[in-house]
Amino acid sequence: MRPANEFLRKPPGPLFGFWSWRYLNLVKTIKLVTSKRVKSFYEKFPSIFPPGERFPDFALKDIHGKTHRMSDYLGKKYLVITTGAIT
Amino acid sequence: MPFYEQIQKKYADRDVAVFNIYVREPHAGERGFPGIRNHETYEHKLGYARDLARIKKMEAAILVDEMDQKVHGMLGNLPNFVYVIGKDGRVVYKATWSNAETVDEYLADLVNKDPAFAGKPKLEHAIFTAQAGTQI
Repeated sequence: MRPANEFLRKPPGPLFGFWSWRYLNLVKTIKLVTSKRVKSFYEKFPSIFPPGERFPDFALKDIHGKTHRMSDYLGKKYLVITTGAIT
Repeated sequence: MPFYEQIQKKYADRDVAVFNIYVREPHAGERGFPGIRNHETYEHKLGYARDLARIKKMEAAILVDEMDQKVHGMLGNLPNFVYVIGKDGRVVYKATWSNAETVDEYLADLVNKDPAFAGKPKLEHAIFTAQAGTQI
């Protein structure tokens, strides 16, 4: 009996191996699916709160634990809202 | 100093608030931070958000999104979007990928037109540069 990792690396049989490789290669499959998902986000984005529309109200805690409610700022300040990440 | 810190500094006396929403790690385990994993709990995420402030020397408010990504989903789910909102609470400019210089152009035009700052000097459009050694 062949170990599982070798089966994943090189599936048996010419045709079976070819097709199963496509489905067993989960990393590629997941990347393909997520890229389609991301593409749909880019397609939807222009219709979400387009220029001229009122910005929604939401409340989130900052890193110091203070809650910021957008309705406290909307109509009083200019706002720049963006995202950040370490990577 | 990251670009949005420079914007915050430039518009400090012009009623501009900058918010960074910390949503997810788009490249967990890559980009020179191999120790960064996907978030498991809110506390884990909060810890990373604090690391973000420390690593990138961010002074602007970092809002930590909930684990269900409700706010991020509401605003379009993109990794680096930007919204500029006017004093009337309406969106002025939005982009799928944030560019600090474009944001600065919109902000400068808004602020220069604002009658509340009529006595203050007009602001020029700026070109932002990253300081050496600062990862953006």
